[in-house]
Amino acid sequence: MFDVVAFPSETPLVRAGRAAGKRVITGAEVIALQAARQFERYTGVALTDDQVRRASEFSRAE
Amino acid sequence: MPILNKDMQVCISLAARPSNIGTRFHNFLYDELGLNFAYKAFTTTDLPGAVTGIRALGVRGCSVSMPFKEAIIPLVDVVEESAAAIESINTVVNDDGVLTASNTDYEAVASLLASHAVDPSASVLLRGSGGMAKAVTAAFRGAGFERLTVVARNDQTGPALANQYGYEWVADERDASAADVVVNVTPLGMRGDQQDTLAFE
Repeated sequence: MFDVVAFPSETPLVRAGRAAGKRVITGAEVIALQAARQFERYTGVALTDDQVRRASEFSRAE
Repeated sequence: MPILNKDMQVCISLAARPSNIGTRFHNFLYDELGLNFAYKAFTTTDLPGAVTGIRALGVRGCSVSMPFKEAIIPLVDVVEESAAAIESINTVVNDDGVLTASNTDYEAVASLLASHAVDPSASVLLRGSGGMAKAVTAAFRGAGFERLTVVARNDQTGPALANQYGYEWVADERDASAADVVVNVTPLGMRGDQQDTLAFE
């Protein structure tokens, strides 16, 4: 189950998928990874998985 | 973030209704990595004017969201091959006045399908036929998925998207058979309404 909706990423579909024990990929993962690839194009700096994860958490913290 | 200064490189985003997510994501990493960059989200009612501004002011990068992902294509100089096939872009990089467009949504979905090890023999039901749906559908085709049904009420963009990648289209999800993977690329989940349409096998 793959919900590309970016915000909020815990959509009713995502919640239903989790409740049904489905493997879920959320829009939060898509938006973080697409932003990471943009960042690398803009700056020429490659990001680690950990940097992407922390930037994603920060980006959604408000 | 370093104090704003004349040498700072500026990146922006363009969307009808910008969120704060991109601005926070990029500036967080500029700060962490000590890069002399700043990023700010914008909206516009004048897309050609905005692109002229990117060129005139030397804006380094521009992230592109709805509803500009298709309309901006004729305004750039180069479109990367994968984005050209999708006919939807979300990224513009400005190299000394040459604007190159790409689609990192496609790259993100392709890498998530790989990292989550989603089996390409699975049947897929994909809801939506807009710019993002185009990138997602292309990523499934690129990853070797043979069985995908596009569910879209729009009887022009729906079949056009399905046909481009050799997939099926239905207007109404009740006409589709149960699928192993459900992909939602509509804003349906956003407000929590129409919950009855979210049922899936």
